[in-house]
Amino acid sequence: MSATLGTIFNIQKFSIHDGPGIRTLVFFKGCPLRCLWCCNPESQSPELEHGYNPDKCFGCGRCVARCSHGVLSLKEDRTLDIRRDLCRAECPDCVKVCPDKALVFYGKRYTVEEVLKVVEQDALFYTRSGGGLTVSGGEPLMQPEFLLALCKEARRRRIDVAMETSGFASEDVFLSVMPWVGYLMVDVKHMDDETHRRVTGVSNRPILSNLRALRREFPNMPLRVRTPVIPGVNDSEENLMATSEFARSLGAEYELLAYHSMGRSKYRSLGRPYPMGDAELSKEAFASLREKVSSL
Amino acid sequence: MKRAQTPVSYRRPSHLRRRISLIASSRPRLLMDRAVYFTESMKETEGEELPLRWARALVHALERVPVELSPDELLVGSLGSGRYGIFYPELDSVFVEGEAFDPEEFFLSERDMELVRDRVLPYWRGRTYPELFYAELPDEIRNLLYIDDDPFHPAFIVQETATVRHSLQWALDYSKVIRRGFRGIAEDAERMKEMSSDPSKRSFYTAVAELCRGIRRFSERFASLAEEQALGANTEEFRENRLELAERCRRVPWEPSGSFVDALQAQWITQMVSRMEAEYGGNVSNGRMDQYLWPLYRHDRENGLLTEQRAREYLDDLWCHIAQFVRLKPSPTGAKIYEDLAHWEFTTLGGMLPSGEDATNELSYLLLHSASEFPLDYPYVGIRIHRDTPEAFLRDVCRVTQRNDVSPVLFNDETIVARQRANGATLEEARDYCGSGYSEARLINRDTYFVGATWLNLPAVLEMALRDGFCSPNPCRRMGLPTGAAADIRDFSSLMTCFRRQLLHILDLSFRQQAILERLRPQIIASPLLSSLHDLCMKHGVDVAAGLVPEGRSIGGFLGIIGFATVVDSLAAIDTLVFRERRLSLPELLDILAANFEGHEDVRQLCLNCPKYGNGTAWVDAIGRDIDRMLLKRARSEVNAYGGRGEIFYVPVKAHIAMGRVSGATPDGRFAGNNFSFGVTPSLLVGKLGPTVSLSSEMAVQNPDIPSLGARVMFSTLLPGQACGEAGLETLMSVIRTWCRQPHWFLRFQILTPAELTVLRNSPYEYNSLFLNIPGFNSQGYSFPSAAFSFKCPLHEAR
Repeated sequence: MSATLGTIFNIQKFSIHDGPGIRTLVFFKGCPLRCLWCCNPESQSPELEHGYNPDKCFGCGRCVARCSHGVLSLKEDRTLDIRRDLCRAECPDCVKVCPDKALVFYGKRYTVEEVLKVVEQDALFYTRSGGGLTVSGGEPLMQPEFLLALCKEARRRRIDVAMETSGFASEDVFLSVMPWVGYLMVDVKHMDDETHRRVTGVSNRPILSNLRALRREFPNMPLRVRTPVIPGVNDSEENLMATSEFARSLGAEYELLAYHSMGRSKYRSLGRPYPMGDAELSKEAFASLREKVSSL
Repeated sequence: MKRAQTPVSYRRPSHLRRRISLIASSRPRLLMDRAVYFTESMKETEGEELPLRWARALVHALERVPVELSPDELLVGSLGSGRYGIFYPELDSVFVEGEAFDPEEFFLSERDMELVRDRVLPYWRGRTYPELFYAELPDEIRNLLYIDDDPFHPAFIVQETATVRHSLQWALDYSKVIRRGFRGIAEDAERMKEMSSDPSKRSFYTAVAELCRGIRRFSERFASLAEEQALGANTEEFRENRLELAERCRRVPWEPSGSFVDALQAQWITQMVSRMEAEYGGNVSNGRMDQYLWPLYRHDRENGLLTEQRAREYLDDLWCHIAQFVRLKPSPTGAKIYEDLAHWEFTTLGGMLPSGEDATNELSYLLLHSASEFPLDYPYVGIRIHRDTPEAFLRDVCRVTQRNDVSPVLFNDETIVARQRANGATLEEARDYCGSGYSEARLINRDTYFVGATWLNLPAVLEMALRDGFCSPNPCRRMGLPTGAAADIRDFSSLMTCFRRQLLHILDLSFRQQAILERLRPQIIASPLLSSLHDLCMKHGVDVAAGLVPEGRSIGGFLGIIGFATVVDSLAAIDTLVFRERRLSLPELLDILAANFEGHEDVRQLCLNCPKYGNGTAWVDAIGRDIDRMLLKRARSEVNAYGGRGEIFYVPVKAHIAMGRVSGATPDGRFAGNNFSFGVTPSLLVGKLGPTVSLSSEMAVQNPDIPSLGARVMFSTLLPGQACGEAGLETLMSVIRTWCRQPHWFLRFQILTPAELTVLRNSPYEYNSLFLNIPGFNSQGYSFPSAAFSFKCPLHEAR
């Protein structure tokens, strides 16, 4: 069964900056990395989980009445207390009764067919723009069987597939989907293994070696290496130059992405602190880094 | 062969900059002179045929109204130096006599008012279109149109606009004036008169000939002004300029135009006379400018007689003239449905030639740039897009969209040409159609229907189905049929049955009142200028206002549907909450709506979060398709006295604001008084899946087996991130290319951030500071007309 069901937390239409043309983004839930700056914290856990926005909540208590596992209770100020550890996510009745979606479930199980049904709503627009489906996450490679099934079926239906990935997976898994992927975007967060471990929780070695393997096995795969520039983490010129050099050695395009804190409210809805605090990346600093990298 | 021009930077000379800022800062003023002279002549000509009387009255006014020429003007033809509108007593005099009329709002002096009271109003008492219409109305229709039978108090359930304007909308065949001059037309008329023995035809041809000569004298009056200015000129350059101008005014539009500038001058004088002859919905259109001006433009450019800079200066001046003339409506209906001085002088660019080849030329690019870089919200530009629209032109259109945060109006040639063909046009005729008014397509030498459209408040019809025939715009009286109490509606299909019965009933009344308007119009209105430029009218010696023109293609009454998405979403919400999920009963929901959701924000959120039209939800789109089908079937079974079939169009203009304002809360989560949805655009109340899905949904609500000639207005909202940079440009282009291959009619992009959308959505009244060039959005309350301002305000500058 697991081969046909995938956990998806969002499907986003009309995206134009994640691969060529007009694309539909399918966000896989679950990620092996724990980047401090992650702007989609709801993508990290592979399990379904509650998201809650106390500002929208009326405190009507409809959801509490529906929960038989003691997950939800109303606090004194009529906002919810959520025991996420008790929730088995088998009975999403609680979110169905919420009048304005203050309480939601991040994540939904889809079959390949269901995902492609949504993706194909825009089929007309892919043809003329050169767009298609982009699998993203979380980390799509965390659900390799579903990913493979999805990519194969999309290709069979003549839908172009692009993939955004951290590249963190076993080489077998990483290479197994590539025959069906038409465009690959990989984030290289840091070239130094030690720092990479500190800020993402994992080593960068599999990522770098996977990319080399990709070039060996699929020398013509269009590849874009990207680095999200995070203030105080990887914004040193030295590191970015090294990454850029690496990308060039792979014959890949290289792009810097600016840090933003738009994910902050999502941490709140998951009841977690925001790890980046008040860090900011000034426009000027980013522009000058970009300048330097592109002048290489 | 057709190539994009490298953009040459245009420097607007100081006199034009001065002219533009003077116009922008001036308060619009209602001019009474045309009314005075028009009335004077009408008194004298009682007993003659109407077209002749109209032509004589118009000539009488053309020879006498004060004309002005400012030293900054490059083209002549204005009646004042700032912004002005014209008072049309044959439509509006009854409203000037009303108590609510405030001369101060229209910048009228005591003397103006005295003049009008003495010399204009008495003659028109009992003779105006609104009065005659009112007198003819049977009780049940009068109740529907007005609150307490008060013609000053429209109910906005069914709203006619035939008595608000002389004519629906139109684009004159300017090419005739340019190629042959009014002399050619006058000579034709005189020759035809000789050949005809029918007194009514002879009278029509006389009217045309007299009018053509009158236009010549009108133009010569400006020549005298220019000559006077030449005498007092303090530079040689200015003196030569004025003499050149005087020479031009003595020649065109009487003689054929010899240069590009001649043609622009002839076009504007013709348009100005047309504006004095009659008031069109949103002003008379500019027609296919890049076609009729092209031969002379090419000639002048090839012979080194004209630079691009010079051409753009003259075009700027033409846009200034257009911006100076505003529609000021003293009638309460006119003020509300044309709120904010709404205007659309449709300027058609691109498209196909009658042969089917692409029609884009160098002038198309120039006009596009000139119009989009003009700092005032003029002119209204529409681009005809077809499969072979050149890449470079499409790219320029998309660049303009990026820069102004709003695209020119896009017309889908593939759809429109096919629909014209299915309605009796030849292929060549159909390909040469012309954008007109807000979103219509016209065959300017074939179409003959000119009676103003009627707008229908569709959400009010839904209320009637829910409330046993009652609705919020006029709650004291049963407007619809007694279809039973809400408690007795047990399932969705019985609700749809009630809705259908109410709808058919209201449509019936709407077409009946339209028939009255159609019957009365030929006795009240004549259009000799329009007719003189219409092939069929000249051939058969009939004024187009007569209604039935031999060989002409008449359309039946146009019925404009307001609040389409509001109704579809409301029905979807009722089906979801009441019948499928049984969260509350129908009477409970109605009570909450009656209280405008007060104390029931949770229910409003439930309503807002129900499935909505525009998100590719098949069963919701099916509701829309059913309604569209009911409307089209009924309308096209209607054949009017002119032999035309009724049509449904989804063109709200500003009526969605006026009708929304008097209507109660709706089950889609809309508060009482807020705007209804716009055209067939999905409602902006909730987040959507994006532009591609809403375009697909719009396709899903259509009934392609019924080739309707009615326009379907569709706006597509993009986030700035979805349209920025080179990727955004490519995306816009590919969306348009895809759209063009689908059965859509109209598309306009607007680029807004989610925050801006939220603000606009939540405070439709307070959002005054920004005049957006987006008819779907700007809602400035009743501040008509003084607060209306028409600077283009690209959002990114306001952000």
